[in-house]
Amino acid sequence: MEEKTNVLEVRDLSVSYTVANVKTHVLENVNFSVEKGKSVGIVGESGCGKTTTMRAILNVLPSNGTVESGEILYNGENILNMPNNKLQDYRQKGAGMIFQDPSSALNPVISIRNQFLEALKYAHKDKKLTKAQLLEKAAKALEQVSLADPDRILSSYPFQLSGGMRQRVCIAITLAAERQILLADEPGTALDVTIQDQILRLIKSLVEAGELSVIMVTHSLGVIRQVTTAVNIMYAGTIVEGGDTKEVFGHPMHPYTQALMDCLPKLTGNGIAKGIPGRIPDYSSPPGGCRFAPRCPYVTDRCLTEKPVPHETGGGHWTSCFKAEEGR
Amino acid sequence: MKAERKEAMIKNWYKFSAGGVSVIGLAIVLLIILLAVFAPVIAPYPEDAGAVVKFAESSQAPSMEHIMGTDTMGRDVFSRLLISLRGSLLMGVLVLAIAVPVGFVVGVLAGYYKDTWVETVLMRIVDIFLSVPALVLALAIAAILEPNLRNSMIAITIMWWPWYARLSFGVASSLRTENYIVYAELTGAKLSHIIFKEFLPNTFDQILTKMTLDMGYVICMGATLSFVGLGEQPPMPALGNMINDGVKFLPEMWWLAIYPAVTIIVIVLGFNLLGDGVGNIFNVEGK
Amino acid sequence: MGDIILEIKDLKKYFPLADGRTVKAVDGVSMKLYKGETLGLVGESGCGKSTIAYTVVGMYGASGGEVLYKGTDLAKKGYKRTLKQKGEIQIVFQDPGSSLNSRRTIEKSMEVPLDIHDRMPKEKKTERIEELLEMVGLPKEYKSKMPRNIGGGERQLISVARALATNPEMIILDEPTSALDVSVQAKVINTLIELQKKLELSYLFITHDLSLMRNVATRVAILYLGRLCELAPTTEFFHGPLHPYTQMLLSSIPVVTEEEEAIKPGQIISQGEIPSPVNAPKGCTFHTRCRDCMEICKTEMPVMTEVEPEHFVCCHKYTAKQEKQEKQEKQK
Repeated sequence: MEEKTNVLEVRDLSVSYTVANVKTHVLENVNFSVEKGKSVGIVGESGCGKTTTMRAILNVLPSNGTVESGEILYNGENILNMPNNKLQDYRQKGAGMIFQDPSSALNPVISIRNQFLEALKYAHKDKKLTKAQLLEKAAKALEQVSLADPDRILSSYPFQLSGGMRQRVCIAITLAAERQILLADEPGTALDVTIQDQILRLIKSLVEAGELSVIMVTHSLGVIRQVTTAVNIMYAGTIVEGGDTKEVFGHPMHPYTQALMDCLPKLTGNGIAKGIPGRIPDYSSPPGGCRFAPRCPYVTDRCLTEKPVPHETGGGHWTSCFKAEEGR
Repeated sequence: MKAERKEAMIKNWYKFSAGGVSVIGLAIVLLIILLAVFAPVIAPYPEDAGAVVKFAESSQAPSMEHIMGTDTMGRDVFSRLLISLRGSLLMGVLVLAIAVPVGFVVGVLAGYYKDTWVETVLMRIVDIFLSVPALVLALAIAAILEPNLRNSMIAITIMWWPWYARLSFGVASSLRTENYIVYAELTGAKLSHIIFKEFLPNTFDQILTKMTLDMGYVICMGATLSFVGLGEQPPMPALGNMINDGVKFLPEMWWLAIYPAVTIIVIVLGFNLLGDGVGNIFNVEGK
Repeated sequence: MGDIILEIKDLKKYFPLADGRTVKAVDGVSMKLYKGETLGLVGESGCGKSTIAYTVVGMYGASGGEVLYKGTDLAKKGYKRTLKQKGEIQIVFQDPGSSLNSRRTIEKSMEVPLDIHDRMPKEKKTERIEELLEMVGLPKEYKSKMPRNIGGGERQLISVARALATNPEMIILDEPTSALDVSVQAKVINTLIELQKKLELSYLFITHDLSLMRNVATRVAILYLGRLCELAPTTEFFHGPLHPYTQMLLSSIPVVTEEEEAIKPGQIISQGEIPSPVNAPKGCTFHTRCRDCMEICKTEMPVMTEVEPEHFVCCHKYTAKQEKQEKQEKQK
């Protein structure tokens, strides 16, 4: 069997926030990994914990957030208890992030050239490169993201570029810094569909060329299917299903995934289901058993008291659900 | 419904008292109100607030009979102080009762009609009022009108309303593009509906907080005016004119000026702390 | 096809900029809305779909053209809409956060249209509000809640309930579910569909989500930089798109199943940036990104041609074809 090298592994991560002396258990035993040179998606609706997970991966949880248990391994080392200097290294060279709104990700009063230089200065500080060499890297990265005329882009300010171009610049910065992981938080949502399509194809091609490993977080299943090879479905702070993207979407095993797919409007035009009854749980007193149980149409007593564990259904496709386990 | 209301009230109290000192502010303000309302009853020598001369008891230092001493006319300082509180509070209430509604309406209209001639005209008027130094304005008005309590209130009202216009302008101009305002317009709402039913609830928090803080400052301004002789006229006591009378006799007859001065400080402090607490309930920064 | 509720004829809306240039947000759009149908408006930034909606509802005046509501031109210079008309044309906005006054209870917000249009005693108002809440599937108790205590989807349902208060004929839905999660969107959309059937409402539905459009619209109109590119019944629009922009847009949709993948036109890959509406390209506005661009496209604006019954395309490829066909017919 081929040795899979995981560039990032999240193991049994549980995170809580404390607000006015009340603890909200936002993440519960989150487990997933990203293989080197591959792309992984985390899909979930609002409030499911995807942003918290992203923050944890960069170790930038707010001051009232506590990691209750678990670890996040970057090339084998746990970033949750790294010393500060190593953590800085990780954030400058290891993982880069692109955001939903590219306009607020770039400093509006600093030229693109200087934004590159700032990032690259730290990312390549051991190599002691000159400014010219850093700019060369920047120009190369801009070409990789299909931005013609890199010189013009470098001398521009963010407001002079369109949304799509700004997003490409953000991706280029990650490439030029030679970061291993790209964290993409809803990268196309603020862009028009045709431009979003271009950005997603770009990310996919970069992954296929071996330039990056990508973790993409979004609420759009369609976006995941277009870009990532693996997917994790997140609900209320837990990952309920995971595996190869097309396999999971083609044969969803978890009732939440099934309900979600049913609610999704499709081009085939068969109408959309009525929605999922109920609401996401109150994180300050989350359900004892499976977090989806209160809303699940197949709920049994066991679901309400016991927590389901990941169960392989074949071909790398797994789900945390008693119904799937019991073969109902 | 009742349970929700009660819960909200408890939550609000929690927020109010979180600072600790705001409860002190509340206590001070309540004390002042009580003293002012019941002044004629509490004051040991209520007649001393009028034209009374008791040379036998003049210029006495604080003692058991006169806890804050007497002035050169033999009048009990404590009683005069209590009576003066009435004028001060009345001034605070009346000034704000007029300045706030006027400022609110002007400000909301200017904000709602932002980028039109309405805004320009109204806000320039506001600017004019704000650019004249308060005291100069008050002196000018006093020069035209007779110096007395009523006219000093008018002067202060005239300089106070623009601040509320500014505040309401800020709220209205930022909210006018909100969908619910657009919806109201499109469905055919009248201007009065938009001002009072849509904008007012949104300015309420900030206005109430500012009013609480302002009470102290209005009273202080009133004292400033009466200090220079433009407010309450003798023999009626006012905090300012009592200080003015007493300043000449410092430091020997310290009680004449110091007690009224300290009273002003306590009043302003009390309303400040109370205003902070009120601001905490609404998460408004004090201005 | 039923009666025509709304007809837009050659609608133009221009915005002058401070530096003297003009943004041609809507530049000559014509379409009809029939009673009981859902006409979908789709397009990307700068296409003008929201501008059309806001002009129809009365937020903007038109720079040219007509907006005929039941025969009356609402866009005529100096025309003031009657209260009845204001009640019959309603709108639901995209952002659930700003649709309701955050300082007033749901009940107070829903009273606004009732107070303006039907002066009724307090009990009748409460009855009507509870009736409206029920219509959108929300419990009566919601009337005493504050907007911040209810979810985004529920707030949108309240916006819909409020729009229904005046017994409207048509509702403009401007991206009503774009800010909502998929499962919440499902509830809102299904509620809208049920209400349409029950109350014979006509919807002008704006969204950028084509998969959603496929499931709600009876006919779809696609806009680009202020001009209409194609207008067709839904099935034809999705299975047989004719305009190159439609094909490009459809090929960019992220889908989730193999069946959907098969429907997408696979051959066109999106290219280029969307030009700014201030500097719209001459001739056909889409020609800078069109792989089928011909010489004539760069200089002349194409006209709307009815290629098949109720299927309109604005593209030189088809006017040329149409002319050829007509010539052939004449020769016969």
